[in-house]
Amino acid sequence: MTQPVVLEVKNLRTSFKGDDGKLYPAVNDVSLQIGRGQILGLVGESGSGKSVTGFSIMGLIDPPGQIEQGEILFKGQDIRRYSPKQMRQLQGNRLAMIFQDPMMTLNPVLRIDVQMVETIRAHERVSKAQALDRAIQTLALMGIPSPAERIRQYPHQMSGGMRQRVAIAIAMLHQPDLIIADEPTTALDVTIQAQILSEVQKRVREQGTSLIWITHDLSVVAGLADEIAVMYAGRIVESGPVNTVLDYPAHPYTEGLIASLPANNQRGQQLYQIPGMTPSLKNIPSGCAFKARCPFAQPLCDTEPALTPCREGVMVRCHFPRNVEVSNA
Amino acid sequence: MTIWLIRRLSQALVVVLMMTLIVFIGLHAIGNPIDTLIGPDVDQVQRARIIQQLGLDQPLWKQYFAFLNGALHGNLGNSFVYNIPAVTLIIQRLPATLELAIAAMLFAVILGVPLGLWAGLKPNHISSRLIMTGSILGFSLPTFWVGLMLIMAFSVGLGWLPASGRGETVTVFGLEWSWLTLDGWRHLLLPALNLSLFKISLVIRLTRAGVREVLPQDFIKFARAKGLSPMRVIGVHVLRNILIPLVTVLGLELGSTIAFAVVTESIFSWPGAGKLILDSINTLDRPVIVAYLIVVVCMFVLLNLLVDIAYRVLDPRVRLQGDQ
Amino acid sequence: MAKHEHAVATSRSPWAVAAKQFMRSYSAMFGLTLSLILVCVAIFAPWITPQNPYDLMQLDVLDSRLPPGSENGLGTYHYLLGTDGQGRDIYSGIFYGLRISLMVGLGSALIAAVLGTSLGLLAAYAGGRTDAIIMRVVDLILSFPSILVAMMILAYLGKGVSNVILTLVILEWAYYARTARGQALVETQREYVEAAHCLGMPHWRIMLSEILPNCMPPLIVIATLQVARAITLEATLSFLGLGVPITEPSLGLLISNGFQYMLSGEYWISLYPGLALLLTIVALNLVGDRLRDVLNPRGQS
Repeated sequence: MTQPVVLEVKNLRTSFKGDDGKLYPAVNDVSLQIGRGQILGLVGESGSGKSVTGFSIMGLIDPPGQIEQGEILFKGQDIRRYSPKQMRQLQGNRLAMIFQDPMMTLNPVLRIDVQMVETIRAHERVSKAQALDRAIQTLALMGIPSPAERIRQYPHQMSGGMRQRVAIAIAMLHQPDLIIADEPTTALDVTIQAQILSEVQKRVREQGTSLIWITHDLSVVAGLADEIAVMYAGRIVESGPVNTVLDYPAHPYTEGLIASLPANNQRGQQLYQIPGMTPSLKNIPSGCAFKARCPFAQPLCDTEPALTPCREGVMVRCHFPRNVEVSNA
Repeated sequence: MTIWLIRRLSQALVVVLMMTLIVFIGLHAIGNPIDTLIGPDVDQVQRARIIQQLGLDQPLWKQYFAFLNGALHGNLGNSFVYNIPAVTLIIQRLPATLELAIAAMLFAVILGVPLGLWAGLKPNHISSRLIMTGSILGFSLPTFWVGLMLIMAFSVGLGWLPASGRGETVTVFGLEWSWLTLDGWRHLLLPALNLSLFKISLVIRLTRAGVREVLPQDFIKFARAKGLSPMRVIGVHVLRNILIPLVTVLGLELGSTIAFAVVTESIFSWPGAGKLILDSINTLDRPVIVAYLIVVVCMFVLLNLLVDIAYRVLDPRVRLQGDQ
Repeated sequence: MAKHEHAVATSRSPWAVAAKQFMRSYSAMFGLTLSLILVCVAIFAPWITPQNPYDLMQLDVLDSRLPPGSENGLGTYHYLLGTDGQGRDIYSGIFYGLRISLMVGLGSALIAAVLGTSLGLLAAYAGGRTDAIIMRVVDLILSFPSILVAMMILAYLGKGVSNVILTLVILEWAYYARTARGQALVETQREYVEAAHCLGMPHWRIMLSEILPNCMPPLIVIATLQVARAITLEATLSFLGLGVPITEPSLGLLISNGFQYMLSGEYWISLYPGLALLLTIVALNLVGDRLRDVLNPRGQS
């Protein structure tokens, strides 16, 4: 990577305290690296720990959760060590987040302009009028029609897609270095989804913002991301350039995910599904977490595999990675 | 909004009318209305004259309309004891009660909301548990007993504050108000505190419940993700959401606070409408009782209406839905 | 909670489970014990008190307004908590006062419970006009502050223990009616009611034996809290001079009697009856609070 590194996560472990007082890791030994202007797709089913990873980076983990170990290097600084005040200076400013359900993201009893202006004024000394202007401009940029009127509305007066655009606009107010988007289009119609995806991609490319797009939908990632990381049971099981991984998946789980895409299934035939269910936080099996559902499991899989390089740019956590013979084209 | 308002107003009107009917029937069902409205020591000639004047020899339904007519004009008979129109008497005494009730509500909010916020934000801290236990006590302790204790402690024991009466008053709009003078506050403090205890407990519990409900919501997390200061997150985002149910409940409670002021007024000899009604019951000053009922019922219905309107104004989701 | 699931699955009646959970709270058990003690004390008052304060023969006016711990004139006897303006022993007076307070509180709650529950069940089961009428009355009663309604009714009726009980019943039945109706409405939709219907069970039997038991938990909670509320309200009304007569004083009236002596520093005449009242109310509230936590979250309303 010739780009300067914006975010580097090293061996992150975030756990939650159960009723029994024991700590259960939701994110286990996760390492990521994102360069300037890069888009990383973080993929996994619900319960895989992808959202928790996002919250950990943003510093939004509350008790009973805690970050047990690891480093989160944002532009070279370990923000895990930051005081709450220092984190607040980053949040919404250099580091922004977009949530999944736009109705619950925006405060239902406050107007949009209030919620946007407060974000601007939290980080910059500008007058309310100036902040309001900036906010209206950003809304226009996100493709919201008649932004000066819309901004005086309440969230429930807008459609889901429009609310999400507002949320994205808020995230972009200070031209952050990194945006973490946690399944922002999952709750929206497919057509709106496509619109928003292309908008976000455009803005991000224009401003050189790095983006982590968290999703369970591989097809979204395919058109959007440069790199992909697949998570299962709190661990990264495969990562690499998006086309390589999607065309020649190395981990059986990734293979299963791709196979279960409706586009990859024959019309009229039963959809392929990975057998079994994602393990809950307390019941993660020892050794390779996927072994119970893996069609290629062997006795060796009782020991946990480490994340190892597989092909150029691809890391995989498997004793028997697939598609290894494929040459790097 | 306008259609709803009209509907609501007509509803309120119906309730008031029903209540006047009940009061009227009560007047006639329990004892002789003649005895009720005319004093016991009026001679026969006077009696006959007043009976004719008040129309007490007319058929019932005519009397009811006369009664309503009188009520609309503020004429519900004269007090036996003070010999001035009952309605005037009540209106004279109302400011004192209102002062007391509003001061009590103010205390309830000023003390209760911060305490409730704290208990909601740090539920497991020992101070929070103390606050919650305290609120149970505030519920359970009878108001009159607390009043006694306050008098014992602050008047008899420490001698800081007076135990009875109202302080100096200032006349505004022809009515006397004591909250504008320092001496007035000295006299107002204990009774208002006494009356507010129950409300404080209520506000603490409501606020805490509200905080616990709002805090885990996504939009709070999002507000933090924007880098807003904790003060702003709590003071604006959380508080605004809690305020809606809180204002509704408090608004409805204002009515019952005004009614319940009777007890406090009795202990502290506070010259308000509550003490008036109590004395009237004891001296059988019936016109005052009737007038009080009517005035209070109207006040109540008006209050409920205002609370309804306030709720619509505060919650944008409700307000704007009505327009669409 | 997963650990306990096995234990509960083995046939334990829900009442036993609730009882066990209730007993886990120290404050609730304290409240329960205290309540029971107070009830016993009230029942056995004539036998356990050293003096009957309402038997004029036993009083000595010269002994009036003595502070706690003083001896009486003959030196035969210590007034543990002092005496009031007529020479009555406060300690004994409290026990007798407790009797009246509890009788009024429990009596009114019981009658109101029976009346209110019946009407609530009726409203739910009959539906239509009956329901509308009953609920309108309930709303009306509940929307006005109880003190006001109580004052008005007692103003017309006059003092007396039975009048107070009547007033309290008029106020309280509405709470029971509303809850019972709400619960019953949920129950009437359930299948076992339809089944009973098909079997030809008469309506009143269905209500009594099928629906009522399932409505009990929240009603029990309300009943406990209502007793505390009734006692408080009665005390307040008596304090204001509207409640029980001077011949049958409740704790509230005792407190009221002592009020005039407070400013001259003779605090004991009001204080000790006040503490007794307090203990009663707090004990009942502790029990009621815990009952609410234990009985309600089990899928009931």
